[in-house]
Formats: sequence, structure tokens, C-alpha cells
Amino acid sequence: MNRKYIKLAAAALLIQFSSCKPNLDLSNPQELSTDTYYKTADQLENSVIPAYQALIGRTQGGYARSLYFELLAPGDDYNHTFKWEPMYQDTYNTPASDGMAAQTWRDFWNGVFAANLAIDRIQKFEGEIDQNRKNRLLGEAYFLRALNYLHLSLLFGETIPLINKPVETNEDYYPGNAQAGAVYALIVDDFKKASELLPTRAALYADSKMIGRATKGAAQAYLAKTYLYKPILAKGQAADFANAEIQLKSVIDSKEYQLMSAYSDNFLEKKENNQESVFEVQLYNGPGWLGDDISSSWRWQEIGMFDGTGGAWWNLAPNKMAHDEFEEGDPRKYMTLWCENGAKFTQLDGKVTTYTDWMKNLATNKDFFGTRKYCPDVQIADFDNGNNDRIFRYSDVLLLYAECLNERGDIAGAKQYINLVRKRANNIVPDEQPHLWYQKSNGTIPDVDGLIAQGLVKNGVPLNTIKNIIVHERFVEFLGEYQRYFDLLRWGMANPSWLEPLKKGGWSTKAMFYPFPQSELDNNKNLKGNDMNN
Amino acid sequence: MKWLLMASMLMSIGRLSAQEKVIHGKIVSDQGKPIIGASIKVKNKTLSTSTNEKGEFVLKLNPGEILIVSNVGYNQAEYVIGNSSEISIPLVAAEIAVDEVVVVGYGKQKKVDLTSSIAVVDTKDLVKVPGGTIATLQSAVPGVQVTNGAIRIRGVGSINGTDPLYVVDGMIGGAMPDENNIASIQVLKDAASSAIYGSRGANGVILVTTKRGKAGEVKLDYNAFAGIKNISHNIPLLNGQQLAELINEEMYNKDPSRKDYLAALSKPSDIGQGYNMMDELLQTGNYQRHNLSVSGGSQNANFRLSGIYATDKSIIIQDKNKHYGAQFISDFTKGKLKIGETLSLGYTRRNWSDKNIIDAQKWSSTLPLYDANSSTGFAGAGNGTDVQSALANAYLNKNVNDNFSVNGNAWATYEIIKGLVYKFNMGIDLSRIRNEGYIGNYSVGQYQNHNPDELNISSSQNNRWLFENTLTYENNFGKHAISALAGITSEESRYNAVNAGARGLPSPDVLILNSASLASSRLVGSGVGQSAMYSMLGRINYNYDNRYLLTFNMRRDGSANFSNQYRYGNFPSVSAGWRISQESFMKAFPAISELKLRASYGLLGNSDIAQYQYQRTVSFDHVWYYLNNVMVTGALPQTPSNPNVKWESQYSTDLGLDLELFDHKLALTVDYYNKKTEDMLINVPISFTAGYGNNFPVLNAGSIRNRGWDILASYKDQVGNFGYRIGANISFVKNRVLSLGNNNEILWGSISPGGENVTRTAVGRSVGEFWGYTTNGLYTSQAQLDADKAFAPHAALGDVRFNDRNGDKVLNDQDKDFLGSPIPDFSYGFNADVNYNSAIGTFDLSMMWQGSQGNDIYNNSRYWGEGMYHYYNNFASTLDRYRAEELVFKNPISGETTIYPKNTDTTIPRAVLGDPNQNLRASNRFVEDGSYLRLKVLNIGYSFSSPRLERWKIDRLRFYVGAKNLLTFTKYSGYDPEVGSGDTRSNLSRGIDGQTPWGLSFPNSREYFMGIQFTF
Repeated sequence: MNRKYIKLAAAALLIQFSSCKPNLDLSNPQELSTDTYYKTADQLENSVIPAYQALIGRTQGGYARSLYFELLAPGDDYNHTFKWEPMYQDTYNTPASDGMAAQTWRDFWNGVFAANLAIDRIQKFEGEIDQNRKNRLLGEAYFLRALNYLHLSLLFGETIPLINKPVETNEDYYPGNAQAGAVYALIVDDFKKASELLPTRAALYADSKMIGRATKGAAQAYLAKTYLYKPILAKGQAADFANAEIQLKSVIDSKEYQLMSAYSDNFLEKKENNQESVFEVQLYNGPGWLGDDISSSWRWQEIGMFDGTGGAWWNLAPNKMAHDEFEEGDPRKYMTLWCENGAKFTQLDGKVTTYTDWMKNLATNKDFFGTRKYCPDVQIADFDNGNNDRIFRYSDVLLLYAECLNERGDIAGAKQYINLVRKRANNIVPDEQPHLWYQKSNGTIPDVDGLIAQGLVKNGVPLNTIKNIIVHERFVEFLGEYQRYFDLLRWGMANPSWLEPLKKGGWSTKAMFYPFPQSELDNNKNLKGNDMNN
Repeated sequence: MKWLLMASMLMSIGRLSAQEKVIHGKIVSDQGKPIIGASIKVKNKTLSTSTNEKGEFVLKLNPGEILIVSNVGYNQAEYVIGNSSEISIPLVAAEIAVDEVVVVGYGKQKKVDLTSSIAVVDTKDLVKVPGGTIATLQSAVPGVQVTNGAIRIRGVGSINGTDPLYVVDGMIGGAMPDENNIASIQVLKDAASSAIYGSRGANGVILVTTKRGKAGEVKLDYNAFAGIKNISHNIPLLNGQQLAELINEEMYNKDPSRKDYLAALSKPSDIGQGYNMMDELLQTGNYQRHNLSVSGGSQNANFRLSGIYATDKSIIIQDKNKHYGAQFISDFTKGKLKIGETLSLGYTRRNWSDKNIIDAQKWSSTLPLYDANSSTGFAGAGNGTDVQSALANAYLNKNVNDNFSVNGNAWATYEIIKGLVYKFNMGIDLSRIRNEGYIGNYSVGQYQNHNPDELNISSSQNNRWLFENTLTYENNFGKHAISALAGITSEESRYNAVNAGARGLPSPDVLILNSASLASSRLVGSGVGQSAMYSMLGRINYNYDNRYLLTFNMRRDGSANFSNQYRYGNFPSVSAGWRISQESFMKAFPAISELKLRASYGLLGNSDIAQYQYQRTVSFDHVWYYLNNVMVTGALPQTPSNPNVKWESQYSTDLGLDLELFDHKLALTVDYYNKKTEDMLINVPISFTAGYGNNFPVLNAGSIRNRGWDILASYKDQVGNFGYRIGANISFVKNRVLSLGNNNEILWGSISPGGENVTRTAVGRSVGEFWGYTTNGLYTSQAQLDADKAFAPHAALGDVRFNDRNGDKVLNDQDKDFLGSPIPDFSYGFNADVNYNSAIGTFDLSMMWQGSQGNDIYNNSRYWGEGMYHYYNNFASTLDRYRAEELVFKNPISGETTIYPKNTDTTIPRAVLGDPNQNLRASNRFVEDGSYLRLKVLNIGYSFSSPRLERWKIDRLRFYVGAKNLLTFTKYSGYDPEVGSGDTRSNLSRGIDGQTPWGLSFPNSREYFMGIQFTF
């Protein structure tokens, strides 16, 4: 019997030794705890980066991929081609189930979340940090929250949720709709704070590592734009021209910005972050293929060149109306469009093609054009490139300022700023393709007074008032730069006649915004959709 | 018996006894029927014979000599010659070995003593058909449902993955062996049987034991088959002329006044048949598999070695697979110490390339597939389409996957005192995976450019270790029999991966990353992960007089997936059985050979969620922004955490009846079960405004109930030379969601292209029911259009008439409804085995039928295939599209006139470019009846008769031919009602066909094969 016990004891010991308990407190070897992060100034730097990245779109609903469709298609200037059917953005018929809008929704909310988290952590930060650096970081975070919100409310309307703190617990997972005006107020407030906290462009960009970040001028310009977009952001309310004017004037007076001599410099990859640039979305074609680095732009591929020409997709194209808006002798037409007597395109196989070739290849939709703006003249093999999207240019500051002056009756002042933009348009562009006339001789569009004297009518609008000329000038200066639809909306809220071009395409007040994504409404029962959901 | 043996040995050595006499013998079945061709050997002599047509034989023998009688399908019998010269030797059919032992978790039990619901799979079925394990589980085991390789035992236990646990020779998560190496498979279906696996038993357990060496002479087994396969159902597409006519009609219907028709399509009659890319992607596949094993041993040491070689060529081009496997098994006994191991090595290499089936279907049939003038030989898209050539992709890209795995365990047992055995078991599970993907440098037409070429290589390793220490004790005290088990186990796993890529290779033949010319294109990455589990387990079996049976199980699991606070879960179960047939009063019912009632109740768990969910973390993965073209990295929490996440629990009740009648000929097993899952782990969808993108937190939200019946019946008999066995099984399951977190519903199953959710899981209904708009046919009158003008402003005659269910004149998600369920009302199988013994050998035939009734499929491939909204090709079904009036269309480009007849008696809507009425929104139009009945296996074999084999010194030789998926009866219009796409693991998106454009696959091809089974 004794031996039995010895054996049993031995067995018990054996079990003790051989069954070592594994460590069950495993922490994620690839990530760090939120409780221990955000404890150094460098970690705070890291916190604002994802709020910038959201503009590109982590699920590619931002400027990298989808956003240009959503911003351009509803305008009267762009139409979808035969290559993309069905494309409901263009026909004001976007269903709530649309996948593209859902990506955009996710991406900008991701940006709001990142900005909220950054604001919270920077404010609560108790460690050592240079006060200027802290101000700059906080300014960036406010700027980015406002910019992400601006996009959300322009696309989906002001009834989106108002979220101004980081979402971290179950209680925050299902927000309801914002009160009317609240989102507008948040955006204004954030841009204001940012404009106070951020350093000037000259101060910040002295360090080349800082180039591309938000600046005081960018915050002021966007604050002005927010005031002018008030009829959209706080639906139906009048634009706040007086406050916009103040902000625009201080941008102009800062003397930090100037128009580039060549209009086309604003759309070339090698001329990124130039003097005309108030704010750019920084894009880069990294080593990953097909946007794998999620930092590159698909724009040229998808909406640039004509179909049938070395692989471009030509899903969205400027229509005849956009083409006809250009005045005779305006070089911008040829820097904006792939059109008759315009620039040539070199295909991947080395073949140089012209408008005649493109028309020959084209199956249908022959009265549409290509968008040369941001599109390279020589085809690149990769679908994507790294050309920054200049979403706020100094010429926009000038024209918006002219608009403000005109609103309070300063016609002479308005003319002066419009003329700055028109004059630049006539500049010789020495880097241009040699066969294009404006490579050697100036453009021939007259100043505002000359234009009025000509008595032109463009697409049914007589160019006989400053307002109409501003409308025309914005159309041609910013074609393909995401302004037209929102310009028409903000003007149309005050004067419905500006909505007529949209109504011709099937627009109705109901279709002013995209519907909230159905997947959002599926998940969040506290949220009600907008008019387009009903 | 010992003296007999010795005597016989002495006598055989002598070989001169004068007592030798003529014995007239007869071999009969246990029903008294003669057995023809049975082999009779005399032990320790070379003398042998076989029975004639009457089952008789004649031999000259001495008393005391031992005959060894064997025949296919019967247990081998020994018979000692006595004084009689007329003998009759009964053979017992192999199936009714009364003392059949089944493997249970951490042990073995006599089948008759089981108190829980365990299905034993007939391993003879496994080798009848290529992929026999899955086919048999699907066809012959009630309560097991297999859809495209995804196995669900007893319904949908959870919203999460419901894969069962595999245990091979005691190795948790063991590698499924080759069919020829499997000795037994049992499926543990209820809580009582699987509770010993605690947290991982909730979805059922599949226990596998491998064949092991036996004492005796060395045996060689060779089993091989080879076959060909084809797509079982193809979907007809429009030919070139038909597509051109369709597109012209689409354009006309969009805008009758337009003039800009596509010139290339302006003369449909000239286009004729056109081209079909799908046909070009399909081929006749083939496969072969060889298994050679050597086994043998002595009293104290046994071994079995086997090697496997297999190849497979898919029914889609550019997809080949080679597999090499080896299995090492040995057992040693030294005194009270026993040592054994099972070790499997496997290596698989797959050479393949991506094929987008929907792209191939969309390929304009007006366009040639090849272009002799292009650098690649392939033609690009055009005629309004920019779809990639799936054919070109198939040839210009390539992937190589290498997968090497080592899986097995080694154990030692020691009998400390009589009945008390200690066992140490150590398992390893290692896998090494290497993937190489190459995309060539090419330009195919206008839309498919890739320059420069690109190479990506990734490599990962998974290491998992298992340590188990168990003590078992068994003893009988009079009529009381007790066995008990206690143990401690631990498990750890680690995962590491690296990947690298570069572009601009010097040549497609030099796939070396560092030789890539574009240094700036080089990409590297890595990943790590780990998990761990620690458990204690125990069991007591009590058996009184073989009549009353009782089992207690207990397992306590600790998982690293939960925080300290919620780490451990306890999973007890109890089951009891009453073998009524052992009671004395049952003697009055001789027809009843076995009758048992069983009942069990238990609690199981589930911890199957992604790791680290309880930790709030900041991620750096792909968080960056290129400021002035310089990458600046950032940090962002990307997964919403839940610090309170804890175990999912499943309460399970099972009531069972085992009945065998008429000398075990008729067997019936009936089980009723009720499983309730609580604190279900769900990735609860949250608002996207929270900012976490598509990442959702894991919450313990909701409960689900599965109730159902599993019924299995079989009958077998032998009539003369003719033996047969027929079996049938059916299982019913009712699934019901009792509660869910947050809004008590989850919308899921997002489909391409828009990402619309087409399933809704809601309280009071079953998991993953289809959700969408309901329709009321097509608009066929102006009055209907006028009535619906408010919510269908773009509709015209022939468009789909969606129902405004709430009548608010707005068509939105408030008008959606449940459209059907992917869960069948019942699934069933039949099988039949027939064999016929003749003098020249044994013929056998077996069939397995398998079916599913009452399930629906959301056929999203019809979005593209019947869309008629673009210039892509469509299914031939669109020839029946709606047309309110005859259309005489004169093409303004060519002047050619096409007459389109009026067609109003149809369910296919009109063709119109851009789909203005959104006919394609998710609706019941795409929900189809997914019921089917399929002849899964048909197998006809011939085994040589014993006498002939003996002359050849062969134990067994069987040839067979057969077919798999030969017949399918279904109304489903897609490729296969066993839907092959979607996330098969998620029960929230089950039954969606073509969920993504790359989601179509062909899991079930029609196969014809032949094989050989050879033992000597």
C-alpha cells in the first residue's frame, strides 16, 4: 500500500511540473494601450496625422478616390459617361444604399473622431511641451475637425450628428441628429479657434517638414468660406458676407499668398504647395500598387482622359455647357479641358494622340470632353498618381472677396479683384506644349469692363452684372475644382434662379444632399435620415 | 484455450496424425444464410480453401486444428475442429459488433453505454468517393449540415463562427487525416458529450482516430483513385448578336431620340455568335490520390507508416494543386508504460491565378478574347465596357502558395495502480505558409495596364503547443462500474508573419525581390499575435448493471481573450441513460434487441473572438500622411474595445432514444435537442459616426435558441448472396433569436456593388433572414405607373413594381420586409449499400443522396447577370425581357432594322441604360428557393474472390468506379445551390450567392472517378 501512495504522490508531482500555466495576460504585440499613449509631445504629433489622412480617406471615400465623383457629378458642368451606369449621383437619384457615399461618410467621421481625440488629449496633456507647438497642434486638430465636418455637412446636410468629444464607450455609439444650426456653429467656432492658434504660412513652412500642414491663412480662408456656405450648412439661412469679408481681407493683407504666373502650375505635381496654395490635400504615390498606400489619387485615371485612350476610364466628363462657358481666347480652356485644338496626349505605348483620334475611338457621348486639369499629358502606367488636390487656392480667396465687396455695393473694388484673376489667365505659359498658342502669346480675355462691353451671353446668362461675371469667372476658373454645385446651391438659396441649371438635370430641393447611408441607419436607430432618405 | 492452441501447434508440427478426417463445412451468416466465397485458412498451415455457391467447403483436418474464416463485410471468426465432421460456422456481420467501442473526449466508451448524443460515422463510406469525409458527414449524419465545406452541427448556435472542433487522436485542433488513414469518426453533438472540451465544444466536436498498426505480419495497403470533373451546371449567356440587340434596346429605352449608338454594335446580325469568356475559363479538371501504407508489429510494438500523393487540377483554368503527406504512427508497451504518437506531415503547393467569374460573365460577347497583334495575345475590353479580361489575368498573373504543416501528438500512459492510469499528452501544430504573387508587366487593350511588374512574397508561421495531463480510474464493484477522469491542460499559440514586395523585376523568370529595379517600390511588413488557454477537466461515469448509466462532466477554461476579471468559465454537464433492453421484463419482447433512453443537460462556452478585444489600444497600421511627399506616421485607435467582454454560454438539453429491432437489423436513433446560447459574442454594428470605420466592438449581446430533431434509421439484411443496407436520416432545426443587444436587430450581409445589407437578424426570427424590398411583378399598365408616381417617378412599363408597404408614398427602408431564410426547414440524406457475393467475387454498389429543403438563397449574381443597365453581357434569361409593344428599331448609325417583339408575359423587367427605376435594389426578385436533392455519391465496386486472391497472395483487391454530384434536383438558377460565396463562417451572411464580384466559386463539380483498394 505504501508503494501505491508513493506512486500517487509522484504522479501528482508530475502533473504539477508538466502543466505549467501559460501566461494569460497577453497584450497586443502590435499596438499600444490608449492609457499609456498620448504621454509625450511626439505622441501628440501622431494624434493629428489620422485627421489629415481622413481627407484622403482610410476606406478611400475621400480625395484619393471617390470624393471627386460626389463633388462634381451633381454639378451642371459634369455628366457621367456611358462608362458608368448606373450613376445616380449625376441624376439626383442616389439611393441610400450607394456604396460610394457610405465610404465617404465613414472616412470623414473617422476624421472627426481622430480630431476629437487629438483635441481631447492635447488639452489634457500635462507633460513637457513648447507652448507654440501645443498651440499649433491644437490649431491643426480644430482645423481638421472643422474641415471634416464641412465636408460631411456639405454632402449630407446639417442634420448629421454633432460629436465634439472622442467616442470611447458604449453610450457614444448611437448618436442622434444635430439641432439646426449647431453644426454650422461648430465649424465656425473651430475655424475661429484654429485661426487664432495656428502659425502663419511663412512661419510654419520655414521648416520644410511642416509644408502641407494647416496654417492661419487656411483657417481664415475656410472660416470665410463657411460664412459664405451658410445657406447650405445652416440650410436656407443667408450667407454672412460681412464676416467673410473680414477674414478674406486679412488673408489678402497677410501678403502670404500670390497668384502663380502660369495658371496650370496649380495642377502640376511638380508645383505642389506653391504660393497660390491656401490648403492642399497632400497626396503621394507610395510604393504600394493601386492605392495600396492609401495616399495616392485616382482622379486622372477615373475622370481625366477620354475613353479609349490608353486606359483612362472617363467615368465623369465636362459637358458641352462647361466647354461653352469659356470665352474665346481664354487659355484656361485648354489647361482645363481635353478638347478640340487643345493639348495632345502621349499614350503608354508612345503614341501621341489628339482630339480627332479620341473622337474616332469614342463609342458614344461625343459631346463630352476630358478633364486635363490634374491629368498628366503623358500617360503613367500606374492608375494612381501623387498629384495634390489644391482644395483652396488664392484665386478663390480673391473671387470670394470680390463677391463680398459686390454684395455691399463696392463694384470698383470687386472689379479690381476679378481683374487680378482674369489678368493672370492671359499669361503666357512657357512650359506648355509648344503647339498651343498661349505658349508664346498671351490670352485675349478682356478685363471686367471690357467683358461687359462685349455683351456676351454664356449658357443663357448675360455677362452684364458683376454678380453674373463672378458666377461666370468662378465657373471657368474652378471648373473641375468642386466649386460649381455648391456655388449654385448657396446662390440659389437667396435667388432660386441660380438653381435653374440644376433643375434642368432633374435636381429638386429634396436632392440637395446625398441620403444618409442606409448602412448607418441600419446600425443606428437613433438617427433619422435626411429628405433624400424619405 | 491455451492448451488447445498448444495442442494444435504440436499437431501441425507433427503433420502425420492418423486422426485426420474429412470435414464438410458450411459458412453461414448470423441469419443462417450461406456465405459464398468465404476464405478458410487453417491456422499455422498453408492449407486454405473457400466456400462454393452453397457456402460449403471440404477440408481434411485434425481435431483441435483451428480454422480462420473471413469474408468481406463480416468479422473474422476462428473455429476449433472437434469431433464432428459436419460443421457450420456462423459469421457475424461486421457492423453489429455488439461491444463496439466509440471514442469519446479523453477516453473510450462502449457504444451501448453512451448517454449522450454521439453519431458514429461508418468509415467504410469515407473511402468510397474523393473527399469522402465531408460527403459522408453531409449525407449520413443527421444534425450535421455542410455548405461548401462549412460544417454546422445542430443549427446555428451563434452568430459567430460555428465551425466544430476537430480532435484527432486526442490532439485538439488536429489535422484531418486522409480518409484511408481514419479508423473512426464520431460526431459529438450535445453538451454532455462535448462539455469535456468546454469552451470549444459549443459547435460540436468531430473526434477522429487514426488507423494504427496491429500485431501480426506486415501489411501493405495501397489505395488510389483518379477522376475527372466538370462544372455541374453552367449559366447560359447572351451571344454577340443578342447582346448587341439588348444594348441598342437599352439605349433606345433610355432616350428614344438619341442618335449616338455604338457603331460596333450597330449591325447585330453581323456579329453572330460572338465570344464567350466563361467557356474559355472552364476546363475538364482531373485529380488523383494515392495512399500507400505499411503496418504491422508485435505484441509490444506496432507501427503504421503511410504516404500520400495527390494532385488536383481545377475545373477553372490555371489552378493546380499538389499534395504530399506522410503519417507516422507507432505504439509501444513496456510493462505498465505505454507510449504512442501520431504525427502527420503535409505539404501542399498550389499554383493558381485570380479569376473573376463575374468579370468573365460581364465580358462583352461582341468582343474577341484574343488579339494576335497585342503583345500579350489577349484582347482588351471595349464596346462600352472596361471590364478586365479575366482570361488575360488568368495567364498573366500567378500565385504560388506553399503550405507545410506538422501536426500530431505524442503520449505516454502509466498504470500507477490497477485501474488508475496517468496520461501525459503533448501536441504540436506547426504550419509554415509562403505565398508568392506575381503580376506581370502587360498592357491588354485600353483598360488593363500593369507596368512595371510586381512581386509580393509573404511568409507566416503558426506554432501551437498543447500539454495535457490526465488521470483516469476505472473499476468495477459488483454490479457498479465506475470510471473517472481528471486533468489539467494548457495551450499556447504564436503567430509571426513577414511580407515584402517590389516592382520592376528583371524578368518574369527572376522572381527575386532584391533584383527589382525600383528600389523605391520595395515594401516590407510584419505581424505578430499570440493566444493562450488553461483548463481543468473532470468526468465521472457510473454504470449499474449495464442498465443505468450516468455521466458527469466538468471543464474550467481560462482564455487570454478575456480580461482578468472575466477570464474563467465553468462548463458542467450531466447525462443519464437507461438500457431498457437489459431489464428482465424485456425478455418478453424478443424483437427488441436494444432499447435505450438517454437524457443530457450541460453548459458549453465560446471564446472565439479576435484577441485583445478587452484592451483599449492605439494602432499604427496604415496611419500616415505624406506631408510634402514625406511620410509622417500617426496613431489612431482603430477597434472599439470592450473591457467587459466575457464568455458566451450555451445551455443544451438532449433527449435521445436508441432502438434496435429484429436482431439488430433495424436501428433507429432519435434525438430531440434544445440549445440556448446566451451572452452571445457579437460584433455589434455601431454607428459609423463613431469613427471606427467598419470595425465594430465585440459585445456579449443577445441569445439564440436552436431546437430540433435528429432522426437516423437504418435497415440491413442478407438474402442469399445478396446483402443490403439502407439508411435514412433527417434533421429539423428551428432557430430563433430571443434577444439581441442594442436595437435588438442586426443588419448585415452587405452585397456588391452598393454595400446594401440584405440580411436582418431580429428578435423572434431566425438568424440571418434575408431583408429587402418586396415587389409586385412589373408595371404593366399606365394606371399602375400613375398610382405609384410619387415614389417611382422614373418608372416605365416593364420596370419592377416595388411595394410601398407602409403606404406613405415614399419608398425607403421602412418598406423593406423579411424575404426568406437561408436556414433549411430540414436537411436529409439517404444511403444504400448493396453487395452480391458470387464465386468470382463480390460486387457492391453504394449511393448517398443528400438534400436540403426550405432554405432560400439570395442570388446577387443576377444583379450583373440580369441587370441590363450597362453594356456588359447578361444571362440568356434576359432574352425574355419585358416589352410593352413591338419595337421596330432602325439603327441610326447602320440603318439596320431590328424587330423586337412584344413580350409582356414575363418576370424579367425591361432593358434600360442606367436603371433609372433602380430595379436592381435588393428585393425578393433575387431570393430563390435553394432546396435541392443531390446524388452525392454513386460507387460500384468489384472485389476479387478469396480463393483467387490467395493464389496471388493478396488479402484484398477491389476495383471501383463512381461518380460524385452526378444528379442534382433544384429550382435554383445559379451555379450551385450549395452556395459557394460570401463569408461562409458568418451566419449573418449565409446563403448569399455572388455577394462580391469575386465571390462566385464552384465547390461542387460533377466528377467521375475510378479507384483501387489493394492489401497484401
